[in-house]
Amino acid sequence: MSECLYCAGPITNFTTWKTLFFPKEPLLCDECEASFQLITGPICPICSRPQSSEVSCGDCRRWEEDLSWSGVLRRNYSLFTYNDAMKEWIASWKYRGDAVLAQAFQSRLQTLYRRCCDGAVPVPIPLSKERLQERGFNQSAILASFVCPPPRLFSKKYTASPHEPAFLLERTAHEEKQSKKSRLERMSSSTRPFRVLLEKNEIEGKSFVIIDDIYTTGTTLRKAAEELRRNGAKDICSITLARG
Amino acid sequence: MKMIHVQLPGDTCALCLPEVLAPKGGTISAGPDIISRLPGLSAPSPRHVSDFSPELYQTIQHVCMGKELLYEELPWDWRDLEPFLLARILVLRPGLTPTKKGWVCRRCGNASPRHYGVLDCARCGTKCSYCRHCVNMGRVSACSALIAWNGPPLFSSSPQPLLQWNGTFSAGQKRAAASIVEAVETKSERLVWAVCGAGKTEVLFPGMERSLQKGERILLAAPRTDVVLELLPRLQKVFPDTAIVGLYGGSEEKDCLAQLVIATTHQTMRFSEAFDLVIIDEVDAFPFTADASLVNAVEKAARSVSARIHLTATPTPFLQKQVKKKLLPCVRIPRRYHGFPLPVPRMEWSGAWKRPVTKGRLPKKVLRWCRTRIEETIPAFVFVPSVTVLEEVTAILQKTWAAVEGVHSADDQRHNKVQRFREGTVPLLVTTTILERGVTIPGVEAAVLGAESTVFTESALVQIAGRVGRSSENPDGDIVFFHAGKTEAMTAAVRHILMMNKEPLPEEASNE
Repeated sequence: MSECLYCAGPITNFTTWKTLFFPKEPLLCDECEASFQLITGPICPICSRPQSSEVSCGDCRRWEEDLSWSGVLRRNYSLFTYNDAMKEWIASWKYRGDAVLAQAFQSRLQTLYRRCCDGAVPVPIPLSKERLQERGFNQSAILASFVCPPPRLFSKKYTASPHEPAFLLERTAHEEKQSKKSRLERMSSSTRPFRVLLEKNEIEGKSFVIIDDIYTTGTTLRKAAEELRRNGAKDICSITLARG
Repeated sequence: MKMIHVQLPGDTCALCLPEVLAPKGGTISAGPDIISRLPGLSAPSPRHVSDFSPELYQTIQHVCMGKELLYEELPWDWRDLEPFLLARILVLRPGLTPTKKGWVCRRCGNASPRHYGVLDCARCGTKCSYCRHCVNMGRVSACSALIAWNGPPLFSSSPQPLLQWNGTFSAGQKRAAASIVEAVETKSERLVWAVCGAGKTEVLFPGMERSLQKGERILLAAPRTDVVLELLPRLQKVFPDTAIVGLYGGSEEKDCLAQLVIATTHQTMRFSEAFDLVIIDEVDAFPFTADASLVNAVEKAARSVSARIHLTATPTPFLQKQVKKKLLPCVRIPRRYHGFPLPVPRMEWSGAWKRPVTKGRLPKKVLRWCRTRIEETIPAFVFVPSVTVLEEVTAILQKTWAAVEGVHSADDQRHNKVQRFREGTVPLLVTTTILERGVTIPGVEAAVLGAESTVFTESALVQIAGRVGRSSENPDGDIVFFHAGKTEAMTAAVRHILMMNKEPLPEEASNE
């Protein structure tokens, strides 16, 4: 009997033909698994917000109408909706600091990466030095380390060369936590919070996928994307665990 | 943060300090390394240094005394703490200690390798293990230091009476209270085995007063937040001049240094060698027996020489065995405060109930029982084995009586529903085992549906029967176990109650 990574309750797994031939230990129990809601059905083609139609949402239209932001971030992919269970989970993971919880979503993130932005260099959103000391780990770096698995033996499916996460960006200033700001404050702050750490020629012409934990207004991701774009990146999309 | 061991000139043993505070003139004897890899240090006594502000000394004493806290939990910088560390008034201890199999956590005692995680730690720059068991209280990793107070204690003794209570004791209570005072005086252990509704809390008052007068610190550990919240005002009322604090998940006064601490068992993990009298309420209750590290936490919170009182209505087989072997002195209160015997449960066979319930029907006997209670306006509990059954049964009953409610542990409306049940607007409450303890409702009757389920242990069933007949106006009441086959636990529960009812009262015992 194995234990749920999140609630420590027992996991009951039944033996089926599939589990017999492809044994795979589930990490979460059925109840925890069911409490997180995968994004399915019609979504905004830019930011993956679940909605009733397939046209871009109001927020994305506003971003795209603004000439300085249009096309900076080609597209965002998210796994889960930011429901109460996800909020609670992120609090345990990020704020209370149980870093290994993220493993529960490792294979899903991998699949998403291979399906949507295979071959792009994963770039985690950096934390400021102070925040990194306080938290002890960078949550985006954990997620970024998941998307590129070591190549599997006998697997012909995976052909693109796997990329190590690249720590291309750094924070220029210690900022107030995003989660403590209002929507207006987030969107209007006109500062440039990120700086590129590498030479321009190492970025030029490459594709990147920026990795973060939550997409709320899209400001953070776009600001990071803009910095890469300025240095000549060819294509930038993003993957987040949750879509707020 | 990496740590070093420094040997200062003229000092007897090495000091453990963070790397940033490396003092001039000292020789580094070990490190820099993560604290759990440094060798152990012998128990040091404070040095006589006094170049710090008295105000800071006092606040640090208030926050740190009797506890072991993480650097991240303290509002100060290493620079502020420097003089105290140099004076050895504060000492650093490794949060995790390596063992053969992995680690043991100093705060919660977790030693099981599967409850450890590894992360790329930005603080020490290595792959750092951390304890997942108590991560909710702030992460203790291999590079974390726990900061402990090593200076002089705070409270002084006072011979004045502190207890303001003018109730009276029943004969059984009087005997138990005297035994507790004796345990406080001799710093020994006692099991107080009192039936539900015997007035366990009051029995503690004289012993607690004695301990407070001696200038000792007291910990009252309770299984659940509800119990802490109920006890806090009662004790504040009878000990008006004593500093009392209630600690539970989400409480505000985390750093208050009180002489009497009422805490959930989880919160006791922060303390270390702090208390001279430790009272454990409902020793057999979840999560205390379920979780070995909580036992460890309470053990750690107590001083090495201290009095320990275990309170319970239903001792675990382990405790009962210890009593039988005369390893644990035990005092019993076999009668309720009002002197009437405990209502004895009836057992009723109700057949296979699971399938009818999923199809929306209750067994006839159960339905009839519920109908009579609601029609005669007798408040009634229906205990069920699981949340799924709870939802089904509540839905069935609500079809006929819309005011019926169901509560379980994850219900946000729990306190509100129980309150409405107390007021009488909810005629019948369907519940899981969460309400088996501590809820007193006059004249209530109870039924257990599916009593054969394994969640209804002997102690759970005795506690459920203990909800009935609590007030002296209604000392009797119906308690039924509806079952689909008697279990050992059910017969043991009935035997337990009959035995307590037969037990001679103290006066009768003394007449023999």
